[in-house]
Amino acid sequence: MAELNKPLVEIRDVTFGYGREVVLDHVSLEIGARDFLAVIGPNGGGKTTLLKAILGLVSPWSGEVVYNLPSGHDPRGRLGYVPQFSTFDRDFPLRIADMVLMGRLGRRNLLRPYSREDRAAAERTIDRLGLAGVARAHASEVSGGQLQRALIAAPWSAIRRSSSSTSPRPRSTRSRATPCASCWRSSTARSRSSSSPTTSPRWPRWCGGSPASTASSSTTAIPSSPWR
Amino acid sequence: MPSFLDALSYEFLRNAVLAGVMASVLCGVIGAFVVVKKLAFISDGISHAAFGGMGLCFFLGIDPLLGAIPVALACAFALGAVDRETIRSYDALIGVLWAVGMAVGVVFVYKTPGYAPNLMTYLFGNILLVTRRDLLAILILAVSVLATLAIFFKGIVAVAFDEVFARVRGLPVRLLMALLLGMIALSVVILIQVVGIILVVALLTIPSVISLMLWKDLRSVLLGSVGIGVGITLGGLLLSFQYDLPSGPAIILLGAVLLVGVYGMKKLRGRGRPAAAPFDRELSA
Repeated sequence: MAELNKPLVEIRDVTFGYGREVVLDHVSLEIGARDFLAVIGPNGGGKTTLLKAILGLVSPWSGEVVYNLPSGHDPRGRLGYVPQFSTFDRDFPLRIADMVLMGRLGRRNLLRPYSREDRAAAERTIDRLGLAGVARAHASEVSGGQLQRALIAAPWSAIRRSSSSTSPRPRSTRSRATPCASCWRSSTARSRSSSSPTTSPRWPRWCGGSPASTASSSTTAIPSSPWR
Repeated sequence: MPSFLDALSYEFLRNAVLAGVMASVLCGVIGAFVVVKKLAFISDGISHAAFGGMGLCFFLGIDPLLGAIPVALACAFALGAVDRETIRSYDALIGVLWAVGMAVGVVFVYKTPGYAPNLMTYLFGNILLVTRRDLLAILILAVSVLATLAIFFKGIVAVAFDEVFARVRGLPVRLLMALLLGMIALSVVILIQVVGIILVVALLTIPSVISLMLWKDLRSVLLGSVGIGVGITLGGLLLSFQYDLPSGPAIILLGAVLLVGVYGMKKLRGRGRPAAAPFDRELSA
């Protein structure tokens, strides 16, 4: 029940590349709240570059990326990001539970210890994604599927529920979380591959993952102001 | 020959033990980040580049440590400021700083009238020459580094783990990396006195490499790394006392033997158990 009438993320005529090579050529795209977006393309096609632009990791040569979040909300720390599974460093000494908790890290608690709410949110996410059994395990000790879910769990746990009584509670019950996790798995699988779909046909073709869809879309009745 | 415990009545040995313990606490903690974030070569570069600053100070007749600290920090920040992706020969850049620092240092030593034994001890270390004043300097540096790490711990772990993730979360990645590199630079300067420029990297990395083989979560790795660092430092000092060996190399050799031993033990224990194969599992997930 989004009361925002603007899309969550607007990519307006963005051009960007590396060195002298243009990778994104006047790309425009609108991503609405609760959209699922799959970006499919050949290797070198600009999929990762597009994601980098959405995440604000690169500055476009021309054009802009506009975020329409409720007023006062900074997109930094509001966007979730799941790293590519194959390039993930499994030897880093972190337990699954620590990885998920780190998803709660942001500017506001950089210098302060994690709050009880942080730990509770991390625990909830671990339960919802079926990682409770391996929470104390290390990244190299779990299966590939469990690790993928852990990578999803970290930004997932960062979604903060709105405490305002005027906004509807985000519906993220257990039954919704599991298919979402499946969707995310298929999306991470796709972003690695080339154009051929590799996932089971029972998942909807449009079901994928854009990091922006994990952005906290806690809504209020006040129209948002675009963030530059 | 008096026992080690008897010899502790000598102040120089007490200072050496204290300096060694402080240094190994530091290298245990910072070394863990050096190893997981693969900054060993940068640390080596900083350590050798610092020699240039030390040479200059020696030439000017002032305490070489006063030259080591700013040069080490400058190298650390310069290397951190360079974008790893735009400069393809980042490795070579470190190598250049390494070599230039050494060359500058040697030139100044050459130009300084008279023999320069003290400067050689900075190349190979001599913890037995640590004075009370040095001890104080080490203490101040060590406490500042550990305090900074404690304050920014979560952020530095995040940056060491995944810089992109940290940036997306809105963390000040550049600042955190600069802090980490600065802490490494100061640790390097301390360690130069213990094991010398040439062996700094070994003391930074060996305890953490062993610790990472034995433990899997960050807290245990850090504690283990400190414990092993203290162990090999004290053990090395003991060995150098008993068998008349230079202290720095004795520490490093003890560490190396321990490393090989732990590695061997792990291999023997691990035989028969299939290693985790992430790509196989990925296909069946």
